[in-house]
Amino acid sequence: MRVGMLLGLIGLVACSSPPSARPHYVLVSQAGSSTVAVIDPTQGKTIRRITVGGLPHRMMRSPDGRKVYVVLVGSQAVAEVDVGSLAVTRTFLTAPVPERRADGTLIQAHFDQGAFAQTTCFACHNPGGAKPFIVGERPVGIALSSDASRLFISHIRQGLLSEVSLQDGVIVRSERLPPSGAAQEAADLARVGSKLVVALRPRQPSTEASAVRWLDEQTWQTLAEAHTGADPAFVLPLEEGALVSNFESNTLSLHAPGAAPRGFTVMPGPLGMLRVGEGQVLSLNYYSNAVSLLNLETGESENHRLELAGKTFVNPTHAALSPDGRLAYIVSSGTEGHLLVFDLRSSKVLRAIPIDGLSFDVAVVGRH
Amino acid sequence: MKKTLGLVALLGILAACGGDNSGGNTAPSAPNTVAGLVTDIGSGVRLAGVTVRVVGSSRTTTTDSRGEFILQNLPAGWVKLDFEKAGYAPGHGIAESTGSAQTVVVALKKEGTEQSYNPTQARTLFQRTEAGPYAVIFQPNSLDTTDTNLRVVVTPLDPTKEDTALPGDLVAGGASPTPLAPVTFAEFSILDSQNRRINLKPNSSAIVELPIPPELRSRYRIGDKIHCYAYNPQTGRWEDFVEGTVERSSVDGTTPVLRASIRHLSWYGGAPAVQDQECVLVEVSNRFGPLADAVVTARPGLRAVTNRLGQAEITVEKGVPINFTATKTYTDTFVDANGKLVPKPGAKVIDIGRVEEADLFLNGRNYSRTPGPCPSSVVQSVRPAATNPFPIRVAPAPEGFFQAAALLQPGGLAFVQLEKGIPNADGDLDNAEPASGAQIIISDNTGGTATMSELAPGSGAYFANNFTVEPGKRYTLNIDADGNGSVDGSGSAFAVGNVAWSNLSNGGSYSASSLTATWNDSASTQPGYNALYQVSFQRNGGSGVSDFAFYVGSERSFEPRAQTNPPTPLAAGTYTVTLNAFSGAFSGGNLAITDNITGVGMQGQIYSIQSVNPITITLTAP
Repeated sequence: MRVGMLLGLIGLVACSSPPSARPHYVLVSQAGSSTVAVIDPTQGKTIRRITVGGLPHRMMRSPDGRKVYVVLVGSQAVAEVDVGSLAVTRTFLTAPVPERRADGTLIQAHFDQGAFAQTTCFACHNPGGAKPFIVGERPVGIALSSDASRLFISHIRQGLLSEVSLQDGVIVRSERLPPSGAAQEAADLARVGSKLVVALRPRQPSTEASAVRWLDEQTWQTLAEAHTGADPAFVLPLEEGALVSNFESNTLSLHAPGAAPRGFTVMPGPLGMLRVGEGQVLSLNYYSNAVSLLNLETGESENHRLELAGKTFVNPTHAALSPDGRLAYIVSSGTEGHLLVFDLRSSKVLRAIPIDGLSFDVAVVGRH
Repeated sequence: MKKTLGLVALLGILAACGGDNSGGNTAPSAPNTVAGLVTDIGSGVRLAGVTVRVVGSSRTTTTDSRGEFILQNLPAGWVKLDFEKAGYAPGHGIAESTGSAQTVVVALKKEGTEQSYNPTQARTLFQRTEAGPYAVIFQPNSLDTTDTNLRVVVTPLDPTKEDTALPGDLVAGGASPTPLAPVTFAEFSILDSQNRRINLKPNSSAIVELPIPPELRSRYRIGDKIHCYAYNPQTGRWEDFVEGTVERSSVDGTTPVLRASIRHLSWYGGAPAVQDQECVLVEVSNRFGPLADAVVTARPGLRAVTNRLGQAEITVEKGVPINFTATKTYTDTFVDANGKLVPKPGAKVIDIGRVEEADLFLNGRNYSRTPGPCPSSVVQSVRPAATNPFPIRVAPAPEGFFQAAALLQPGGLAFVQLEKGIPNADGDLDNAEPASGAQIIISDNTGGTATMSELAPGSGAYFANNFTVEPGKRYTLNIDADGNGSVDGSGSAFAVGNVAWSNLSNGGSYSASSLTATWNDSASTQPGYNALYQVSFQRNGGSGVSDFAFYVGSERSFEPRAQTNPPTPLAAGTYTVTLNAFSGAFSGGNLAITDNITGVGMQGQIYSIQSVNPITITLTAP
């Protein structure tokens, strides 16, 4: 019953008219090269590469569209990219720089090199710099607070949840979330109204259950929790619920506090998800080299392989909508990377733009 | 047979050395042609009768008695090839069909032992090597078959020794290619009753555990995340990137393994993107001079094609040993007795050169290189003559077969025994005879190099004058076994460090119940160093189970206890205690030898040993 109401709300919101077509760039996080690619879809090529930090993955636009926040999984930080200048304006640590290693020994170099004053571990741990290159708590999920003044960031390594003030870039709060059974890695999070939704997963690979936990945005008090598959990869916020992709399977699960999760079948390896229209979600099915267009109300889905001119584009990860809502820009994240221009009406790939292999997330920004 | 081989080898040497320097590089190289050479990675022997399939078409061919093949009139673009031979794991290669003939050099790996499996049951299947157990863990009913009589084959591959057997290019390509650094790999095959290949159900996964090779254990530690990929023969690329974690093996509880989920059974392994890259200028030449349109591949690194000066810029990982391989193919061409390339319809010449090099990156020779990846726009540009490109010499691969055994004596000499002959099914040489005329270079990876001389003509024994092996240093051998100018095989190993007892001394007395024997090794902190220690306690005059304790492993401590269940203190008495240290191609509890000199037409081992003088101690009763 609760889920039915939720789906109705989804439909209402999704019915709002799509934004008009306007010039835009597409940003892609390129994990292998520590960069964000700026792609001009009109020219069909990368026009700039912005060095942001180690293992850039998830990206999130600010509500006014002027900033993009890039989660640096390998540098324990978030990079703020200014859309106007297409440059990194600030970086924020997502967890404090440690004084000691896990075995208790002192990290003398952090004292010698002034690491505690840095705002990203990439300042020292970069190609040619201090080893190892990938360090820290491995931030992954990102969400903006209700008043758009703070970032919430979830971390894989120890299940940390952090809150960073956007005004001064300072970590306001950082807590290790209590595990749920074997689930202890905070794989992703989203904000739904005044609640945070965190996907806690066991250390991978695993066949044990994960947990979808609802927290109060202000107090981080647990409000509800439900099990999901062994490897939740992405949490898509909806009006009152959250859709979770179960990467180890072929399912998405719709969660709402106090309601039993509802499952949807897509193709194997669902990862990113994108709302694309009235009650519809595009599921990026990594292991199937395909996308699924899912109708949340009926539960029906259409599956489409990512092919163009006889070539299959593998391992889709994330997607973003064009400003007119007609196209989805899809990251094909094999070792040979492509940004796919996918027409949502014909459900066909129109174009494949070369990007770096092992790219991950995508965001559409206005051209200034 | 021995005489025939000798004659062939002699002709090869004559052919390679006898040419003049005019006109040799103008031989034809047909467009849209891919030629290749297939060898056994374990022995280096050329493999005849290998089926070669062009992926996405019906074209097939078979390697000839020299392990070679040629495919002509291919469509332009990248060509994916599958290689199949009974008893070997599937092999794969890629080449570009372009304006001149290209070469694929593929090494196949002998497959692991077949194990039966009923897929309705959960089961862990593994194949053990000196690195540890390579395992696949199946959930019940996860395979896409109703057949309950399956055979599972796990074929391990240690890229620190066998990287040339890895299929495809280990590259995150696209707009800005980045090399991937191989860590650990295996091939997983499942066959049903009808010998058809079976895979996982689309919605199922399995867990694999791949040991971290001993040389890489100081670099990848428990808890580290490593990117994992499966090879897709259809696309010729490594795909399905997921993160794996370094954990203890669930099979033996001790070996550090990369544990990850797998969705498609094929070649699978871990290879993080290389962050610290540099751009190296190389020059490929043969006996006549620089070669245009030669293909150069680097591991870990990328692929490049030489310009009209025979030069190319190629991106490699900085700070680690690099294997360079260069190839050049001539079509409708033959090498005459003078080493000249002469027209002969239907014939072909495949020139190959292979160099393992670490000196590039330390304070030795100053080859031309710049930080960061090569700018793609200048790959084909012509560089000023003042630069100092890294040389790669190519020549026809040896027709004979060579085997090397190289000893690094800490504080002493480096010694190589080289033999030639015919490899048997186990890869050992039958009718072996000493190999003279080889060119062997030893380098210490800090700029010191020496050419090794044959001790006596016809002995096949080589050593370097005035070259002392320093304990704890890594040494690399590049061996031109047939002396025709191109390196045929290469390998490296650490010289064992200075090893000594920490808490035992000759004549000492210790409690049998509480003794933990410890020793130190001056090289233990060297990155990549992984010595194997062998310790024995033998009671003088005793032969019972409580009179003997034995240890083989990489730790530097050992509790000598009788091998009872549970272990009990050794009997009181006087004991002779021995301590030996091994490095390189020695491994495993039974000290089985694993080849670490690999190449085309040759194989071998490079290793180092140090024996600490035996001591006599007294163990007292509890």
